[in-house]
Amino acid sequence: MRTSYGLHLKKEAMFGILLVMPAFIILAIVYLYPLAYDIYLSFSRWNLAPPSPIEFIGLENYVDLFSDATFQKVLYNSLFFTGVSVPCEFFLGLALALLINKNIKGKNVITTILALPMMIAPVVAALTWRWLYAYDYGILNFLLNRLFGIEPLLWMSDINIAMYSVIIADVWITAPFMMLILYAGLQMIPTERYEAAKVDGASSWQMFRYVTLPSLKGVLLVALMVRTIDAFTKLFDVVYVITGGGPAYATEVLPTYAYKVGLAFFRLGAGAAISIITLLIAAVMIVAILRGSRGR
Amino acid sequence: MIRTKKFINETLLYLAVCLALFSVLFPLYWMFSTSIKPPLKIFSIPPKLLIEEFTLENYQRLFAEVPFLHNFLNSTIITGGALALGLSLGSMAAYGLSRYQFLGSRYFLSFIVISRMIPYVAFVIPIYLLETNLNLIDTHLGVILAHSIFVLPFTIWLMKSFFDEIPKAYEEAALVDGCSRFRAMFVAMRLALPGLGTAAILTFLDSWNEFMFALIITRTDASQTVPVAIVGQLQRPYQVPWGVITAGSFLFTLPIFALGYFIQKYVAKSFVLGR
Amino acid sequence: MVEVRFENVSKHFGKVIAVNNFNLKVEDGDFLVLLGPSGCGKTTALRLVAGLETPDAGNIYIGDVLANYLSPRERNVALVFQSYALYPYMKVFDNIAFPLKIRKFIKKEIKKRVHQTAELLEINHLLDRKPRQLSGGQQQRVALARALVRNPQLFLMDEPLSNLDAKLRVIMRTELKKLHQKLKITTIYVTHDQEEAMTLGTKIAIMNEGTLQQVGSSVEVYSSPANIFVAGFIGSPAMNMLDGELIEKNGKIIGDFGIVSYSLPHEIKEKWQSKKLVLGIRPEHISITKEKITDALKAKVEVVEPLGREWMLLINVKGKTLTVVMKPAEFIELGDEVYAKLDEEKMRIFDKESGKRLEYKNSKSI
Repeated sequence: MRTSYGLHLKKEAMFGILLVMPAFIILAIVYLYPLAYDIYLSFSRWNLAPPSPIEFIGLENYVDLFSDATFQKVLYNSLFFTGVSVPCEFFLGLALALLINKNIKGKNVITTILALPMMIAPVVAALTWRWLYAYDYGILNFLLNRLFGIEPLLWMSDINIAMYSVIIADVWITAPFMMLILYAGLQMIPTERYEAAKVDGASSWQMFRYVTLPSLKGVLLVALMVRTIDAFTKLFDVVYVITGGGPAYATEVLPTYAYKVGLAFFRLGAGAAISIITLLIAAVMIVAILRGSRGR
Repeated sequence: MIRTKKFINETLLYLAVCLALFSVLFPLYWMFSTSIKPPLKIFSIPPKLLIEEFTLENYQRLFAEVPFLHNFLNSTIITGGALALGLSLGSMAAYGLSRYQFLGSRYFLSFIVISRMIPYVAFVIPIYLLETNLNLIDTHLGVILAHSIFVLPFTIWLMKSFFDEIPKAYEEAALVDGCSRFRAMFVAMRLALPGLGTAAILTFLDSWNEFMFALIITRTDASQTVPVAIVGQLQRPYQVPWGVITAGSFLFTLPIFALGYFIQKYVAKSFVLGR
Repeated sequence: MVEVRFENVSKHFGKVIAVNNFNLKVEDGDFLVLLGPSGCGKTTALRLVAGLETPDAGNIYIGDVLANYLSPRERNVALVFQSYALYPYMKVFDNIAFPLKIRKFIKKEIKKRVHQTAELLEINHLLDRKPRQLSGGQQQRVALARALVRNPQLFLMDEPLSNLDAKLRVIMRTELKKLHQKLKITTIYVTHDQEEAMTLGTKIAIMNEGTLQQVGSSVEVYSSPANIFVAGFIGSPAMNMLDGELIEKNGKIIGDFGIVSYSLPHEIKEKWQSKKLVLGIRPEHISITKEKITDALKAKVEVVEPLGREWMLLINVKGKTLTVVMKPAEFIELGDEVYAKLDEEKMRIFDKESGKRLEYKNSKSI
């Protein structure tokens, strides 16, 4: 008797497994296997220009990278970029969210327009900005000169400015994302809370500080974490198009450098190691953010 | 006094909105206006702010030189394929995870949640090697499979939360009515259609706009997507054909504008879910 | 039309035992009500019959067939859900037609049957609408129609009336009863409402904590409750319960319940070995008079609730509160001193420990 029940239950579970199988197989092939292989590659030396056989070298890639001045610069760039662009996106996004939260005419249209930068292809946005940044043909230098008397800048070739050019373009693309998330968060705050604060005599600033911000904390944290990881690990299109990593690695970041080393210089082991380092640092960031938030 | 204060506040508000709108719309306007400027005017110093004359020359060059139609077709096939594959397999898997508990289902679920945190660069080299071995380089399927890296996990994650919200009573009614387990699943699918729509729109954007994997995998017009093709225009000798680039950018973005209405509805909803 | 048998059926969910060693026979054509408080296992029992759950032990027979591992589809039973579970994206016609469509009936036949069933339930005029455009009562009828349209051999209902307002519930109760009399399909009906059970069921099976407490007609479970649980669950207002002891005095057996004592036959002691007893007397079996009559107890009226057709009183007898139900009695007022007489023939004695009712020769059953 027991066996027949066992069989019947297994039949049910079989169906579930069957449903998941196809997706799992594909993911195993394009996700799990490549990831594992990347880890393995990071512990190997395999150069293809000139072609040489693959050999296992343990942590040598990692040691070499961390002692390499270029890699150090790239790592610094990624951290710098993340540290500057994320707060910018956050503050801009918050400001915009607060803006559209007020009852202004044509709110829906305005919101849709403001959301555009994140819907167009990042390469399209990057090309647009590259064209804006052009030294002599670019409209940006032209307007800055005519309106504010500022001398034209080498947005993409000046070592000191290049990174900021990238940051500006990226913030332009991603601030709307923050805006929408924070706007959704604002919508969830019940009006009674504001009314209670008003009755208690709070000023606009105080309402913002004691009602709005605390109520947004949960949403904020998730958004911040997601954006920080994305800024650190997924910045590729914008850099590739606008500066190509230059001038002199001034804007090279980990993702573009991993690509360059692995598939342009064909040092596959080193390239893999760079990507794994990116992954590990991202993991550390996640843990740090989660711990930090718990402390509050 | 209060009235003046209110007036000042309101004016500031409208100024801020105008500033924001300008920041978004001006670059887009500049891109579009460049695409309809005659090539000589594009490279005039100083640049001309307003559109004085317009021409379709850039668009003609686009189709003749790039070749844009091919690339657009490639993008369509690849995104269509990635969506078809990802949405069908993904929603089936999501249903399985929502309704059943079996060995490993919890691990699979945790994997789905974590997967979006892993940098895509980590896949770049192995995917390149894998697809070279499988002869998938420069094929549509090659890019479709690469896109599955993000389309599948996202679809599974989103659809599972939708299925979890649908009461099992409907499927049970279908079972009692005489449906097979498989047919009963379609009842749930029908009810989860809004979720599928959201997943479709968001993964469409991700796949349509994708650059990095397309860059690695494609080589020729046989499979190159528009992003790769127009970025490739930057490498042209002598002068970079900005007229062609902006024309291509504009046409590539048109479908997104067209879908803008639906995107506005669904994207707003999806952000409440917490992307 | 078919009979259903539960043989030693058990089902648990993790550590919770939902159905415990359940034995029940439902005869062909019965309208059996599974009655009990929430969590007693009645819905689980129903789902076991439907095939939506599999038993962990024991056997379920539908007709002569062992049904334990038959899929719902193979059992040819119909189930009406508490939430109706109408497919919201289909019109009413398609909802009702669905079971036939699945079984690949031809269009003509489907149309005929759907219209027949819709007429039976008087929802012909609603066939073109979507479920969300219907009222609760109408949705319920659609759910019934979907269940009936394929002439099932067994009809299962899971608290189908609980989402309706009180008045509609009463109307639908009569409709269901009439429907059953007409179609004579074996029906298993789950509810927690004992009034519903009493009016609907030809047979009532009372469950508590996964175990079957008693099976019988409504009259049987009312007058001859098998244990304290059934006695307290059936009947509203609930039966009055008095704790007492079995005492031997001068060779006589006496049940001492504090405010009152009764002599009991010797077989009680011999048969049951009880020490602690519980006396149960229904509110309508206590008569109230202003003047003292034999064996009446002095009582003070604490609460008077005039309910129209009858009055409910709470009286205090030597510190114990008793509920009384009687015909309208304007002569009684709050605070009055009255005399209460308990009808000896209608009272029931229970063993406190096991909860079982003690049957003895003098107890008048039915």
